[in-house]
Amino acid sequence: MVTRRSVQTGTTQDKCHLEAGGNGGPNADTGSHQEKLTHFGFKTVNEEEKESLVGRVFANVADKYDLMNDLMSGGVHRLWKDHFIRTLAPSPTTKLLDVAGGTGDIAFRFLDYVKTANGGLGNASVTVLDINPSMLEVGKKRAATNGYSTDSDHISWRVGNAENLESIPDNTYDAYTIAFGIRNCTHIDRVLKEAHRVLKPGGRFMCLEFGKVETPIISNLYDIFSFEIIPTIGQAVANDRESYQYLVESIRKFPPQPVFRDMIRSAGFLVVGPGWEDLTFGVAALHSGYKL
Amino acid sequence: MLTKTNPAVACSRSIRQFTGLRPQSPRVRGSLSAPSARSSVLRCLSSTRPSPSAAAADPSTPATTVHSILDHALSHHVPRLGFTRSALVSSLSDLDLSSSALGMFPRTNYAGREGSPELVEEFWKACKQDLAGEVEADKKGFASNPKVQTVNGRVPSYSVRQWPSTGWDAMSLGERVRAVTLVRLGMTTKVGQHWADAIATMALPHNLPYAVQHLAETADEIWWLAGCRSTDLSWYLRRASLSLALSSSEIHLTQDPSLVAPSETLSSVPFSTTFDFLCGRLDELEWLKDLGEEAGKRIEFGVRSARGVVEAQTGWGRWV
Repeated sequence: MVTRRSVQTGTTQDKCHLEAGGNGGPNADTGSHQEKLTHFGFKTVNEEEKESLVGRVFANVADKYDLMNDLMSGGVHRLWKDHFIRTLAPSPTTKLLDVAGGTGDIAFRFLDYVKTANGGLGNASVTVLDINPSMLEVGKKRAATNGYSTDSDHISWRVGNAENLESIPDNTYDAYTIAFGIRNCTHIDRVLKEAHRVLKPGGRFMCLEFGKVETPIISNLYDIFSFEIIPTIGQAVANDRESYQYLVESIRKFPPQPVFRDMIRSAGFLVVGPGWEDLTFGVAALHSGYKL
Repeated sequence: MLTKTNPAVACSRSIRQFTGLRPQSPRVRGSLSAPSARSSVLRCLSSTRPSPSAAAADPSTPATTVHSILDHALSHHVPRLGFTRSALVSSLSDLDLSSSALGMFPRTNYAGREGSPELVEEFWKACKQDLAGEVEADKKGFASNPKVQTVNGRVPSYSVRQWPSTGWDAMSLGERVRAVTLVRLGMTTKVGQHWADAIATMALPHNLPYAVQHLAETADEIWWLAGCRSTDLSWYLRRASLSLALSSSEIHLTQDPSLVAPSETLSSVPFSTTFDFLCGRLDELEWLKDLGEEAGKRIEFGVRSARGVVEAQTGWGRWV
């Protein structure tokens, strides 16, 4: 409980830092003589620091990342990702950019889907982009075991920052996916702008990300599970409590579904219907936007 | 005949506000002669298909909305491909949009589905919007030349052929409902080739609520255009019974001989067996209504007789 209380105070305190620095709000320029601040979990850090801090977290957990996902979600993250790809329902002509997709969870599902639904890969291709080389290495290893050559017409791997995709020309991709990655980016608005830029007209932005659980009792259980159990599992399995503490904190710092939907909209995307679909009571949410 | 109501009676429309069946756009009702923006969609369905490239090149119709994609598919691809995912995909490629935009139609774009409920619903909406204009066209055509078989070179619809020589204004409510329902069924016959698939798509459990809602709205629109302004319980009965007649006729349409035989070889109007079927069902409804009234009278008689017997035997009624 002590942890939780300190945690909540932290949330209110650095909300203004988030608005001032992180999202480029109206007060973004107020700290001209002062460093721009953002959040790293419940901690407040300098903007420049966040990227390397996140980088360190994922370098630490890369090897155990997939195992940990299974343990923490009871395997449900696989169902979320399967549903994510079925919702995208790619065709053999789809060119996909999977951002923050290091270990290839989305990329392999994409290729498998196209293969099963159409009897072949056709011209479908996926570019896996991740800021973290160690995550990409895990993905490449898995490509070999899944029967895909490491680099081919259908799959390629690339180190890059989601906030700046300068090596990719405008109007290149049919779909842009980012699964459990956008939360770790320092400037979500920049990521969305870049996504909009690289997508072709009619292209789809899809994001799978943790959300806010609104169902009363479930949300209490979810909090207990997040703050008490997940860091302990992290300690036991990956021998890294800190990284998993960051994970659950960063989930709480990510904007709730309607706010994130509005961010997608203000990046220029057309949002159809409510704009997102809650998965497992909103523990995860599937957001969509279209470039028209 | 069903109860005759004078459509000129300016009965309050407030009842419609309680029904939840109000049209989305107020323009639809009460503007019988206003040309609808969607009219073109249905007209395209029946006429020859304009070249897709010409439509795509037209800068005045940018594909910025979900509806423009659906409308383009309806007018250009549904006649050939039916209410399918493929029709939507072709529409997207005409409009130079990535096929990923298919995700805007989530009930079409999900693993393994081919039928497109969104396209069927768009077709229904277009029909609903066009219905008033079509009825008005029939009225004008009939008024200008009620006797001849062709109006402005156009073969009069099955509906107009059923009209009594006195014309719309002298028709009873029942006759008007028949006329409007025939016009509405005529719209569905334009996509007769694909209607069986459309029904199959809309009968899937996750689409069924939308189908029921559209059917209810259509029945309501027909009664409204026929001039029914009822505010009593018959409101429900009328809509329910008309929904039944219309939906069964639309199922009958999937088996119509016109679908297999080229229309030139048929002596009558295309889809006349389906139209005859609808007329039969509407006749039955009137018979049912008579039966209902008859049954009501019998029950009343029975109750009175029983009361008489009880009174005679016990003397109970005298003190009540």
